Amino acid sequence: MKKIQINKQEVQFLTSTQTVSGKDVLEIIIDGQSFFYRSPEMVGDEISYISHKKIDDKLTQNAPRLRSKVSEDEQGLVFVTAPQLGNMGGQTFEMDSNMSRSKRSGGDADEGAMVSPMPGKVLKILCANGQEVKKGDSLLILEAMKMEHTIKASQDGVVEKVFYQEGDLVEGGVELVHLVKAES
Amino acid sequence: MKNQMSIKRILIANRGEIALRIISTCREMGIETITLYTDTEKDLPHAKLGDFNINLGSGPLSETYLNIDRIVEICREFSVDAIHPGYGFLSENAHFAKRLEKEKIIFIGPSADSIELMGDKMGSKKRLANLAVPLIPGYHGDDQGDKHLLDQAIEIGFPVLIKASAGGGGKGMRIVEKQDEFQSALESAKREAKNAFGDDRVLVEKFIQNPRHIEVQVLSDSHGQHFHLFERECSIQRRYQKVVEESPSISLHPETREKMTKAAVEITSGIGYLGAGTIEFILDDSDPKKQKFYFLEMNTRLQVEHPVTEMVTGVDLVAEQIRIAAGEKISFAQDDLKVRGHAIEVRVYAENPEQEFLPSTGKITKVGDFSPVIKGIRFDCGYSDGNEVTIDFDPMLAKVISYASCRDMAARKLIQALDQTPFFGVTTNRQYLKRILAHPEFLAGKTYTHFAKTYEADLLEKDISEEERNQLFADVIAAHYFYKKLNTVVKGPSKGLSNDHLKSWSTNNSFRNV
Repeated sequence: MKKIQINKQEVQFLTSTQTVSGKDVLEIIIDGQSFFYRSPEMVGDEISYISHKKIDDKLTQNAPRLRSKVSEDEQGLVFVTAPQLGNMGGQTFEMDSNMSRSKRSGGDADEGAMVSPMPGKVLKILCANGQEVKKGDSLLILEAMKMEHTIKASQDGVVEKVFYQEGDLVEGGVELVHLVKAES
Repeated sequence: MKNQMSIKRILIANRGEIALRIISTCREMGIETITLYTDTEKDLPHAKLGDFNINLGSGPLSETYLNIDRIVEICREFSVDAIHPGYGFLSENAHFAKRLEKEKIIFIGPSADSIELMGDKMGSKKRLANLAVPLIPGYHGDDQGDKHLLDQAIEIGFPVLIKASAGGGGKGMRIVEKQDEFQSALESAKREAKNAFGDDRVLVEKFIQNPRHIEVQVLSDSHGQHFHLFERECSIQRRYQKVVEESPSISLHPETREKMTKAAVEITSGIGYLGAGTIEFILDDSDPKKQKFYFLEMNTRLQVEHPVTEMVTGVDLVAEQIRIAAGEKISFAQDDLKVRGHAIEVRVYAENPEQEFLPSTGKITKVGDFSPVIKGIRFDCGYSDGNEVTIDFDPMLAKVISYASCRDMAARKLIQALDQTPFFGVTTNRQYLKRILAHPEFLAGKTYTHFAKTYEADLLEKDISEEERNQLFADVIAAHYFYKKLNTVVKGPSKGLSNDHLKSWSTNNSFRNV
């Protein structure tokens, strides 16, 4: 089993190559589902290949030739666009085989932590320590790139701590407000 | 050409895609260019493609792209004939235009007076009230007391729009639906206006329910000729930032077009305008048989969306700007100008539509390329492979413009083009743009300025089933697998090298001909 993260979601899969009816085929298995591919071509930065279904040991092409673009950065992070089919077609997926790196930036963070999405300035604080808030309530206004961004409560709860004051400059990814979940 | 052009060297006081776009026309005209860049932009194309490229160092904008003294100094040092300001930055800075006049450097743009007049939204509306140009009911006065503004809003009638007087780009704008929301909206608008423009004066206007944003491109020379180059529709906006722009407008009746373009030329001749400009109107389309339009504002510069006009009229607006600045006469007549086909532009931003459009940063590992070439696609991009996108500047990465014989085909073509330019490494609004272009209401021409808000949910990523997700993940894993194999073969030291690991995948005949 190989393990990677695709857009921060952990995915386990198996790959194997085989010959079916004299054709070289790549099989990828995810969650017990098998997917078959063959006939890769690369022109410019575009990779294309054929997707198959296997019925009674016979391969049938189940879609037009798929076209994707692929790129890698120096750290081995891989970017792939989904083939131009369906509503996710053309979307960029980020694949990371370095699980420990992805974990760190992954979404397992504390749900009560309202984090600054990017560097900016705290313009206005709209909540106070001890205040009860409902999901979606505005907690704080951050100014970044000359636009105002409202930080909203991700859940019902009580404001445990506001970490900054109006006018403070903050880094991206730091906790601005901490909420404690409401006890029901 | 009769005489030699008096402009031989142009300093481009801008960056990114617009700097490249100006370089392109300058090269066509045999004019040398000087580009500016900052420390963090050393690797960007505009830092390299000028005939001279000047490093402005680092620091706040006031010390780099907005540093008038430094820019004038560079002009002297390099004997610059003229400055093209692009859009944003110093393009609508009357003080800058005045200074250049004093320094005997040509400003490729209108006079300082025109910039001053149109830069002040209250002043411009007062001035235009004397011309036969329709204005939206509103308060544009000097009394900025909260109570007074509220009284004015009540008189105009809710919903109203609060706008920064010195504004642009949607900063400091708020729609107020009800009276009791007025105060907090006013405070927020003033705060944003103060931060963005250092001026918190606002105006209050009637808010039109189903408006379209239509603007007329104008061009005036120093020989008293005033032209229009028809309209652009830019109704698809998000937070007052234009996202999709097209020409011609699908909604404009021929008679309305006639009236609107006439009003635009009336303004430019009325104020003795010079150069390229854009007159923005709000079209009230609620009664399709009786379209009404109101003057919104005039932008005294080249617009971001100027390429759609260039594509349907065949006029190079930057070339015309330069010729006009050199004192030449516009060589065509109004009747020579015709709109042919349809052009649509989308703006690719480094932002994440799935996370409230927060600007994103990162290193672009690959912009993408067009192979095979898609005819009629224009790609105005300020970045190349390996460039870093930082939060120092505007998050717009590129404009993709498509031209076709009809609107439907232009939209379809644009979707194809967006698939060719993934901007790997940075989260962009590409998928969001594609969903707009494929949206049935967009294709039906139901493009009102609230489109992005009305169809907000349609424009975001759809949830997919577990099976679909697995199929998708398998597809991208396969793409990467094949990429690795084929890329290794191409880049490997010797083509014929036998390598067990690659064997079944590498040779041409085992895979290409099955």
